[in-house]
Amino acid sequence: MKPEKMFEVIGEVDEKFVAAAEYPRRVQGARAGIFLKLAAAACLIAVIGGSAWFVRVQYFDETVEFIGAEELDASDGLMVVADFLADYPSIFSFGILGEFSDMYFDVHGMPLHSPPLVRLEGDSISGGLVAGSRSDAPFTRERGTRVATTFRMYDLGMGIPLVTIGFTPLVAQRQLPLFETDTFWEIYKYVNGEFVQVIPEIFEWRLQISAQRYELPTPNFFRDEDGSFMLHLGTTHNISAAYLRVAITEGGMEIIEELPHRPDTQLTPLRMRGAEAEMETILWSRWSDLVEGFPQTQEILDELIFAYNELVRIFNGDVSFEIGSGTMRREWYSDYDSGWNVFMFPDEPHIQTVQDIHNLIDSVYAQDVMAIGARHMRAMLEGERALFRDMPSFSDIDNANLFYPDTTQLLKLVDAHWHEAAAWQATRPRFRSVVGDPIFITDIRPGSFNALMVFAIVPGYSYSSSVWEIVLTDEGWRINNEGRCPYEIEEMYRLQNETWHRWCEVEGRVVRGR
Amino acid sequence: MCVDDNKIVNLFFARDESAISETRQKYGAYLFTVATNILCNAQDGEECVSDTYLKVWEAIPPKRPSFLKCFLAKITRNRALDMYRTNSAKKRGNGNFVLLLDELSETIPSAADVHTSYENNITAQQIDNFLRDLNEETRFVFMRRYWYADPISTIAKGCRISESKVKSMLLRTRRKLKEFLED
Repeated sequence: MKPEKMFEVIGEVDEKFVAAAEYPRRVQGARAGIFLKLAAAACLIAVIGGSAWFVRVQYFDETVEFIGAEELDASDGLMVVADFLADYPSIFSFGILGEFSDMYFDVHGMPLHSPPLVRLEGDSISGGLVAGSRSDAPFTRERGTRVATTFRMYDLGMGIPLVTIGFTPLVAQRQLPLFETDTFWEIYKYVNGEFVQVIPEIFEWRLQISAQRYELPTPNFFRDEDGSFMLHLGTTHNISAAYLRVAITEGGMEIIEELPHRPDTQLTPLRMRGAEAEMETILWSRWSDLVEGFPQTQEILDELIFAYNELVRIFNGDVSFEIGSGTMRREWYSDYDSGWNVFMFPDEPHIQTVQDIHNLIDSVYAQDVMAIGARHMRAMLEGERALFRDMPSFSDIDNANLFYPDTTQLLKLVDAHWHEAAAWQATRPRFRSVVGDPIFITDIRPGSFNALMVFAIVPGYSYSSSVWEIVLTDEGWRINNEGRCPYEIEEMYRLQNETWHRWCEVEGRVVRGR
Repeated sequence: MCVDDNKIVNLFFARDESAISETRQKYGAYLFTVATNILCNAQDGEECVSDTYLKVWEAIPPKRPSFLKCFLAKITRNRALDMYRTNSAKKRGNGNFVLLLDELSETIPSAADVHTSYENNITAQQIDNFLRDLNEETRFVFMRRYWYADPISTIAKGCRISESKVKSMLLRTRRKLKEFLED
């Protein structure tokens, strides 16, 4: 008998065995009344028709199902988080992304760090997910190329759902001041069951923008008072690149007006900054409207505060954890969920709960733990800008060349503003990542672990990091090295060291080095 | 919105061609996976799934499957196996499935133990009996591997267990199956 025949015979077994061998397609209950988690393999979003939102869920076995958004989460969180995707990059076929996803996820073979997250808000559904590779980092386990994919979909009320897609390949952003890969956007509209790209010429902008090696979010649409639509092509944290009034018709999209402060020729950072205030005023007003009507904000904040306090409690207040980091798209999305976020290697799936962290620390041994952080992202929830709205003015930084950073200059600027920033931050202990935060705990070993410091230059802009080996002693903590700066930029190294120690002094609880 | 299975079957009965599109929408990716697990080639997989739609169109009516998903998967699986045989004759390789067949060869009773004629008479009923005695997890893993032809890595991720555990479970199950068939 040939094995093929055996395979054929097995194919004839009772269907109930076949049916029972379906991968899980659980729909978990909402956590803290906020989130509905679909324990599905992939969550795709589709917009069908003009006004109704549907979530297209592609289950683990690739069965596809459309679920009306109202059925999912009408009263609670307006969010859908698809789980398990982290384990299944290959089935991230993200209908609307198609070949792009293959390009990134398959070529790099990277596991996704985050579940896709979807938010319904007013006229749009937005979401994102991030993938990361761990293959080539020089000094941490969390390394390599990252790809963030964001998307937003808009119901423009004309039966023409529109989707915008932004890809943000990040090159180990927390470690490197280099964003080597391009960033590009695509805008699609939904026509006859398919997403069709529209006006690619708009995205010539992307070349200019990405040339700045800066992370870009998905384009935003806003409905203006006169009913027209504003298309904001922004960079991270709404440091705007372009702001256009557009008309969207069946035939595509047309630029009606370019706001006069849009740079005409070359998007130099300084010129962008000059236009930013006005743009952000407009944008923020839109976001404010959204946030005001968003009932779950406080609940999520409560979750975050709880998470933060728990982490502090677990570590006796001696270690700071990332919470509210706006420094990476990965956190923006993967940590957007409530509760805990423990990044881990795929073969450490058991580390998922607070108790797991306890166990981990008790054992003080886990090579594969990459970082521990509380899930967060008020900033995202409130529209990227809210977190920073009452941040002290960084007027000096405003005049700096943010996009081609002069390391020395920038660090000096931050240095000059340090106390101001720290004071501001001290009033918001749960959102600590604005400056000089966060610490990622990595490479936990018996008796020691590494602390990876991400140094944020401006709100939300992660610039650089150092790794510090922390040794656990009977008397507390000890820094075993001075922090290894991977960039061999002496000045930055020095300034980072200084900043680190100052931070330790200011915070008084992060690392009590001896 | 995906149509439920009964409605899809009814569309087939009504000879409404939208039955195909509804089937494709709901199960297309799933069937593609079933096919490509065996064929290890996307193009062949697509062809196989297309063949499946045609066969389903021809089969329903008169058949009214009680479990459409399994029905479709089974047709796809059989078609994929046929294609595999053809491809094998043309020496077109497909790693995962070849490996799977190697594994299955371990389950086949050896001629030294049983009558040769017996070898050709292993029935699905025997496999049913064998499966019934397995615990749920083991049965799940077995079916994923040898019915769906899932790669080991997929099973591991799907079950949230390590690949090595999957492999060891399968190894033990194959040995048991062989013993079972030899008894």
